[in-house]
Amino acid sequence: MTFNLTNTLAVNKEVLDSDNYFASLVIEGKRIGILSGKDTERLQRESTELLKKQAESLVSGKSTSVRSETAQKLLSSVFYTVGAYLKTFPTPDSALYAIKKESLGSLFALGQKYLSGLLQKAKTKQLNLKKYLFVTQNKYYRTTAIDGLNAFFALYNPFLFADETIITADYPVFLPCKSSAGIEFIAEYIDRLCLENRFCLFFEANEIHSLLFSSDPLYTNSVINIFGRVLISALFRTIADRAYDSLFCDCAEAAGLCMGKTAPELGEMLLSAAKKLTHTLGCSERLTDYVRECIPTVVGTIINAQKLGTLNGLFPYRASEASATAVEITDGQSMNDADFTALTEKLTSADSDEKISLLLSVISSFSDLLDILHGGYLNEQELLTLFGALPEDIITLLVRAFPDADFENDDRDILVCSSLRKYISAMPPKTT
Amino acid sequence: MDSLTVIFDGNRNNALTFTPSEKVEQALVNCSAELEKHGLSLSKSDIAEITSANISALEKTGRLELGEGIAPKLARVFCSSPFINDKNITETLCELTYLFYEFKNESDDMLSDNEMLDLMKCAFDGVCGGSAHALASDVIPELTRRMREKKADGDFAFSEANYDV
Repeated sequence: MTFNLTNTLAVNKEVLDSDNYFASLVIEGKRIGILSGKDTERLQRESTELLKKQAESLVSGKSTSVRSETAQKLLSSVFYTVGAYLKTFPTPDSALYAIKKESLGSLFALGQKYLSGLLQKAKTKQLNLKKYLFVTQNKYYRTTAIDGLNAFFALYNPFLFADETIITADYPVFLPCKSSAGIEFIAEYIDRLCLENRFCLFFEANEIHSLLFSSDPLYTNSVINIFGRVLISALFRTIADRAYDSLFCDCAEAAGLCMGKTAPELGEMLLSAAKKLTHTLGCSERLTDYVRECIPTVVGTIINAQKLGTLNGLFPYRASEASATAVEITDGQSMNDADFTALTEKLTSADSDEKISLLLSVISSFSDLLDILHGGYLNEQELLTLFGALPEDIITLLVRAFPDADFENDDRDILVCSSLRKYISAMPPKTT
Repeated sequence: MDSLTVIFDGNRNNALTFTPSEKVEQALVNCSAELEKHGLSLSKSDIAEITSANISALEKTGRLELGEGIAPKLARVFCSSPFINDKNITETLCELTYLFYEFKNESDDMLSDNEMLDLMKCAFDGVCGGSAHALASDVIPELTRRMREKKADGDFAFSEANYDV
């Protein structure tokens, strides 16, 4: 089919809304006079006819009525489907002419076909993702990539409720998706997740774990993007001409590389590093493009960290879990509720010395230690004594867990923060 | 931006009106033969009153009718009730129409129209003693509560025996 494109570029792209593409095209079409009053009346009539058909499909003969809210959802789904199809046109002008020339029913049928193809592709990609899923202890990664997306495919109804996303996709991809609903969002999300997953597979899973753990000991339960952290480390290792067997960078060195550079200069340096990195790793063209697309966000992240003085969060020292002798970090394997309650009861009646020896003998997970600290069972002197008995690695992790009293609302947490600061300021300076 | 508002020139309700009143009226006229078997009839003004009540019930309950409205179906089902006569048929059908849509909403559309009509008729002729008021205040809330409980338990399935009314 060909359209009369003599009015090419009549549509102002700026006013088009990706989330309501069909409606925004109709508004623009009316504004520039391509859609007449007659066209609008036809669209209204055809919308109502389509809605009736969709509602009849929904109730499948068992009911002769539906709630108005349901009808609105059905109609939104129709417009979403038509909009998704119209986005595939080479230009908004050609999409607008399609609205003028084609019936809404025909555009809807073509939209259904398009969404069906998108759904099938997304399913295939997720199957592949599951097969080669990067191994991480971050719980949101796996639960979203497998359970969450499985739930979407099981529940998604592209015919009647195409614009429903159903799941929340808790794990965040590095570059936010442009689409916000339905299969368009999920397909884009899976596409990004697959690329990020592939990139992470180039590195040792244990090394990525160490990097993430050193930056946030509670990362396994945190909603964080893994790819971004790995990419930033890999880029700076590339700039420093280091191999990728480790993902740690010297924070001072990284800060030196960034210092005094404007955002464009930083972008240029990172783009050049990205080119070398993707070439060395043997990334596909698509992944190479994606890494390149991520550079402005990486630049923003670094500039932000520079401003906030948190570059050491991006380039942490390697925290050794094994050297934590007094308190062994077990990645969330905390004691059961009954044992924990028994411990807190003992703490309530114990004197200061008993409290410290009890904690050092019983606590074996970092999360239990955090729970005890959050619970306010220790006074300042007891906290200082406890900190003195803990290995340096654990103190480092505690500083990350309690970064600043200004960020805390709870008096108990504020006491931990201030005691920790007091303890650290009394420590002898580190000789390197 | 709301697509409905855009396409329907600011009047979203234009999108949500399917059933012309003539269609409902004609469907009620078509019930005449069945009503006559039970010694009942509907005058032109009765039909107009029921049709108007049907449309008003849809508006009040926020529902959208796809076919000819529920009123003709109600007339066919309830005409055999011993409590319906020529004097009260119009008023009762108007009340039942509203109750039907209300019951549909309250029960989250779990039952089909026919299942719901069976339950209403059974209760109306039984425990309600022909009182639409009793149906509205006692039976429908109780049936709705039971249905929701069963749905929450995950064992919802329609069976008249389950709703001993």
